[in-house]
Amino acid sequence: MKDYTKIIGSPKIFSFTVMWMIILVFIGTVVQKDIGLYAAQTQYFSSWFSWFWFLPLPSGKLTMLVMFVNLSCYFFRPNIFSNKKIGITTTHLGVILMLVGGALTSFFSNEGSVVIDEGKISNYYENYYNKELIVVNTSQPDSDYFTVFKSPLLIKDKILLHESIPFKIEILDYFVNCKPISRIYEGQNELKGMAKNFFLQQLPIEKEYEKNISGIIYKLSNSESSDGVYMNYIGQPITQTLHNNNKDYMLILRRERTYLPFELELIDFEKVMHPGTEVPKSYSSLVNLVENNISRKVLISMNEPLRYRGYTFYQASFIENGLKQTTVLATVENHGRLFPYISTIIMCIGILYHMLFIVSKRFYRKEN
Amino acid sequence: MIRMIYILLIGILLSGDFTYKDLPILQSGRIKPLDSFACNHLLQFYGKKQFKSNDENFNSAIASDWLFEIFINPEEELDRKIFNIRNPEVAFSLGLDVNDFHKYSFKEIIQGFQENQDLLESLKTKDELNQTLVDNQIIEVYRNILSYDEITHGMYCFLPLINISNNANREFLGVNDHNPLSYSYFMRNIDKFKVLLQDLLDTEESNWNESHLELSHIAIQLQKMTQFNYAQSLKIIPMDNDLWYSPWEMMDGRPLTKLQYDILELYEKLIYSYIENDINDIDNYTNSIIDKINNNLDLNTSLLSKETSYNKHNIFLWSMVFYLIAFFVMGISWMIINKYVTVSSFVFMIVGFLLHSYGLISRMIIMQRPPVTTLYESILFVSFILVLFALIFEYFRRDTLGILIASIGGVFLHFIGFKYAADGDTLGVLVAVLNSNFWLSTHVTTITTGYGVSLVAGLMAHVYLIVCVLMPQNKKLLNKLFDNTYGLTLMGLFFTMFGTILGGIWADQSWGRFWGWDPKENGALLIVLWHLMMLHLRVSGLVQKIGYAYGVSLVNIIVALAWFGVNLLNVGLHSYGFTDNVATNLFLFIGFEIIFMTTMYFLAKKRSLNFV
Repeated sequence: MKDYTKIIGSPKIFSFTVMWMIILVFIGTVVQKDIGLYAAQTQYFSSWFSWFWFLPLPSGKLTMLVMFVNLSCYFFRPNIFSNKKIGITTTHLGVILMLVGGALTSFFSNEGSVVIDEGKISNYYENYYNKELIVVNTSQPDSDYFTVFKSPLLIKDKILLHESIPFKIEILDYFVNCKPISRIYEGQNELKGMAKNFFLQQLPIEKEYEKNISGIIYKLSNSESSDGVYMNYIGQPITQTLHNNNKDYMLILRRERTYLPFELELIDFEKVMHPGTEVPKSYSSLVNLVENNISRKVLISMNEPLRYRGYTFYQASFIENGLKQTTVLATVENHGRLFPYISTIIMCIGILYHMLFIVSKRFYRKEN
Repeated sequence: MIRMIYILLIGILLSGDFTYKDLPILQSGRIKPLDSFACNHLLQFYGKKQFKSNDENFNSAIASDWLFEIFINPEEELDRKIFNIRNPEVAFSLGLDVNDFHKYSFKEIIQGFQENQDLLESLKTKDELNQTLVDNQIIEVYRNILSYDEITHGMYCFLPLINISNNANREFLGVNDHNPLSYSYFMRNIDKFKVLLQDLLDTEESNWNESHLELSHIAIQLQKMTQFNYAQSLKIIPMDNDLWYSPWEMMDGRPLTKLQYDILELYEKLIYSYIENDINDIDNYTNSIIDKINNNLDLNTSLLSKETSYNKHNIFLWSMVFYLIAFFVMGISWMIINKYVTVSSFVFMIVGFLLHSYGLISRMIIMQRPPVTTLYESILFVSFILVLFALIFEYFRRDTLGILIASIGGVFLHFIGFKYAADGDTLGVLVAVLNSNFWLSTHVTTITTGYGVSLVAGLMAHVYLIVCVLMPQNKKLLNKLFDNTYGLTLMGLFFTMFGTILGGIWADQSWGRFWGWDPKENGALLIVLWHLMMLHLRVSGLVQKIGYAYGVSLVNIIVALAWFGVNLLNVGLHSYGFTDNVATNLFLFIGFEIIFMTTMYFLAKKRSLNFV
């Protein structure tokens, strides 16, 4: 056991891992100029492997896992709690905690944004990247029935079936980024809804991933009278409706929503400029936080987020359209967020101890 | 040196009395002295903060005097060659004579634009992405011309251009002396003046007496002066703390508050005494204006004179001069080994450092914020940290090594800083997300300290390798140098790591993610990883002392990349000539460092083998 940990935990391995990490960070930063942050992040940091020309080499996630294993073996060494080593041991513990926190965040956190117009209420946040296709049964007078197909299902040639909907959806095509273009000729008979007059043209993926307008083309079958080819895209002005078997349905492609156990109502959005300029000095949103019909007022401003029930809401941006103001609150659900704080403190104590009590001794020894 | 210390003391002690340079103005989101306004514009038009003249009609002038000169002589000043057009292509396309000074007057340029009208038209229709460097510069010249025109006529309404000699008129308006009056005077006393004008309208022209005749002249004169009411860029008349108006905006017949009425009156008198060159009165009126504003608004007016004095003394130029002197004196001390020479070089270094600190502190006081908020300030602060740490070393070691590192690093960074300062106003306001004193003072200060310490470590490693090559037999010196380098690496690691993590915490607090792999974050991470790699390579025995020093010496490159390199990644967004320059200089620096240090490394290895 000791021998193995000695080999796996060798600082030589660590040196080479860090060297590789330096190369990854360098490449992952430089390519952002061309492919944007999101793509660079997925390719070089948050995946296990990445292609470098024709070679599949470890990407950030695997590199950090190797670091973690390597560092963990440090604790099997002898004498690590001696006065000479205790500072270094503490620092290594801090680094391990930081890596654990990073892993927790990368696996379990969820983020998006709540977009609210002034005077309106919202109880969900939308994911920046993922999309979902929903089928809403609007036939009941007192409630709607939602069937949601999340983004991993939205792939070309996938067939979507669910007991709650009486028809079959076959995805003919799915575009991460596209735009609708009107048809010059009216299409074939099987084209229905918006697809009758428009088609979707695929576009290259935007550098800023949030700006992509995703679109989907699908074929409905096994329905009574609505069989045909349909299309949807994000932010479509007219909702796709169906009347089938005496029931009414809506089909919508939208940003993936996560519902909150409470509601937020935007009372007022305010932005303050530096006097006499167009340089913003501060933004803030006054919201009503409503839960179980009990509401309280909260002010969310730059650098002063709202934390509530494991969610955090940050003043991220705003949209201004004439007199109408809309606030954009970045929303994060993260259970690993305390780790960096704790590990920082531990690391700092470790390094300071080592610097002040161990390394400085070397100076005095040499002086005398 | 005594003069500098004297200035230091004066700067701290005397901040009560104001001069006309301290008059407050709202510009770019903040209240500043007129002197800063003048400096920024002179820098923008002329390329320097002081006007130097070869022309016999115009004297050399400091920025504030130049500004007042264009206020009181707007027409003559149009001939002053104040616009700096460096690029001969721009001058040529405007039909200007290409001269060696690259300086042109308003009249010349405006004529150039008039003769080449389609030039501006074609530029206006051109897509922003397709604009070339020359296009951008022409547009900039055009903007400068417009902005100059507005400033020139900004105080036109205070100029005493209207003579009033008729006794009846004078009595009615309450004028006691024979001084000419300004546009502003009539607008302030519009109620009385209206009565006179009404009387003029009611009287038939054939029945006009002398008073009527004079009034009609005055009315025509005023009407003519109104043509300049577009000149509204001088926001010197306060409404409240954040809302300030230009004199011309006050002239549109709106009701004036007591404060505004008084300030207009004082400005009229101030301009009059400036024309009369009555220095006592100028200062008295200035102090009355600032007093009035002080009593009515919540404004820290003492900062105005501090800022003017900061503008005047060009402190960072002096700190650099002292660093340079220290460097040369140190060189002398190597040749003639004399204790006093060594000590005096240390003293020069200390004086430079005190000035450097004084400059930083002045900026903090003026802006009421932590030392580092912009790239320019980060350069000032990193060089401050570098010199500080090197001087601490010097204090303990007393072998001029600290002076060597401090002076070279300090002078080098000062030069880079001057490049950035020439870009424009260095005391700007901050956008919302950065406007947080707590995080600016913790994260930014720590990470820039990390840059500074890493640079000291890098320089120390340079010295180690050079000593390895030149004096490989001096084992004692080498061991000491190595230990210092090692300790500095740890310190650099501590500050960069702690600073990076604090940045993550700021990001987590402000927009909810601790780490997002964006270029600035990655840059800082690279330094941390580099330090980590070097330490573990050494611990694991993969590299020996020389190899370690070689690696640490290259950390300078990583710092340069993290500091300046990441800004080049959005070259596409603002591709002005300057950024290209930064890229070239950066690559030159990196190329030089790699070649030089690699050569040193191999030489050192060879020499050390001979001595084992």
